[in-house]
Amino acid sequence: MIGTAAWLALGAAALAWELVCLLSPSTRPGLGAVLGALGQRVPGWMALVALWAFAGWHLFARYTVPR
Amino acid sequence: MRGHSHTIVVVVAAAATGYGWWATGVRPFTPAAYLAVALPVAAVAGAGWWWGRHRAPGRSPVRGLRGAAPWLGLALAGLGLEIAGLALGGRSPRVPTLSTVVDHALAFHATRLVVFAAWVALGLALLRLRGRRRPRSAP
Repeated sequence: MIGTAAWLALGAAALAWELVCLLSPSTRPGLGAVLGALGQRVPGWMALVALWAFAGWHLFARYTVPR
Repeated sequence: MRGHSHTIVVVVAAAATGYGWWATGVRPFTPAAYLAVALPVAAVAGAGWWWGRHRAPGRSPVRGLRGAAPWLGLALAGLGLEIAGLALGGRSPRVPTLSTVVDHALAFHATRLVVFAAWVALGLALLRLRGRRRPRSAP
């Protein structure tokens, strides 16, 4: 229970920070800007694609519906 | 001409929704489930590779990671929670892993379709990042 609340708090914090970044994008890069900077180079882009592929594989090919 | 492109958008959206419905309806841990994920991954990786070879030449824009510390902190906090969840067996009711939390949302076909659409949109964003024209350097 406490862990689920921690995950939700983490998601809320990320959303709140993204909103803060939207208000001042020149000084505070949002998640899109950070990932965009990471993906500029081929290794960074390949790492992002690998992470994306892993997320898809884990979420849609290997999920377990909780009882 | 505009009506023609509108029709194409509708057809592509309908096909993507149909694919998503099928992909999120197959049983997990089956070859069909792996194929349903592998096809978009292969499309994004292939198109990204092709675009990377054919995009306009020029120097990559200098855009650093300054100001990314809060995102790094959030990622590290998430990593710490994930490690704690895995150390407790992966399905601990007190500290679940992220996938255990997400699995509750994946119990329904409609929510799986929404999450799948978000995942595909993320892949298209990655592709757009790869296909972006690089500005030429100043002479």
